[in-house]
Amino acid sequence: MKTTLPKDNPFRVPDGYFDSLTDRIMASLPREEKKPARRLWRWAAAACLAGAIAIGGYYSLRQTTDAPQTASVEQTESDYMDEALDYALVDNQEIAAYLTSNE
Amino acid sequence: MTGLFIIPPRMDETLLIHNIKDTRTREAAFRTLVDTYKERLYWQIRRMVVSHDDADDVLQQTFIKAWTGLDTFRGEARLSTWLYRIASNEALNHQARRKETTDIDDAVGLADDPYFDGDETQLQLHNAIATLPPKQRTVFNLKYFDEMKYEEMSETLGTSVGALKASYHHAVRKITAFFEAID
Repeated sequence: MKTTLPKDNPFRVPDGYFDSLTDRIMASLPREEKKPARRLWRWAAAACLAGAIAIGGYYSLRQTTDAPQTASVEQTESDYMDEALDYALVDNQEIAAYLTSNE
Repeated sequence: MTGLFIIPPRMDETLLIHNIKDTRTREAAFRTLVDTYKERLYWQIRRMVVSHDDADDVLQQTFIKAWTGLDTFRGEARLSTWLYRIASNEALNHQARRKETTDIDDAVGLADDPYFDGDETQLQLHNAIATLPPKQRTVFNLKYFDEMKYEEMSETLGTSVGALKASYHHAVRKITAFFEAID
């Protein structure tokens, strides 16, 4: 049979199939996402703690002063809150993205 | 083009295995693995499943299985044997799944397949091969087109050399009978 039947390949592939194949396969491989998420969770926890301490510290400071409630004080409050939130290493968007990705 | 591909003599499989086992170099090493074996594995699979689209699916599944199973590869078998084994299993699973969901015979449509470019004899040969039971088809393809030695086939498929020889000769008789019937 080997002398009468063909061994050459009658099957064809689309043009460029093998050229792009490696990239497609590498892109389809499952990747572990654990480590970055763990880091994010720790940052989120640290940010909440830092924010809580900053806000707590601000309010205890307010109680010890006699500063009048003027517009300028409210402005300062707002600036202080911004600053306290800036201490957060992670913003709310990132926390939301992490929480929804782990549903 | 034949089904036999030669590994470039420069490639050191020991080094590649080492790099694959090391998680720091795994990604780059796996890319090398894909580049080296993708064509050989594709043709092995294609001969089994016949359709290009199916072969593409099974090939991707093969590499995904290899990637997720890298820690189980102990390095005593050759990489090619290990990959061939995964590809063979994935192709067989694919055929089994197809059989459950459709009655379409693989032989139907080969003549109309845009990615089949053979003459009448090749068409009949591949139609005949498609009538073989899946495992027998694998054995026939590996022996006839890849000219794989029985010992390596035994390692790849996990079947004894004696059983493989019997399977191959059975396949040859069936294909011969197929041709005699259409003459």
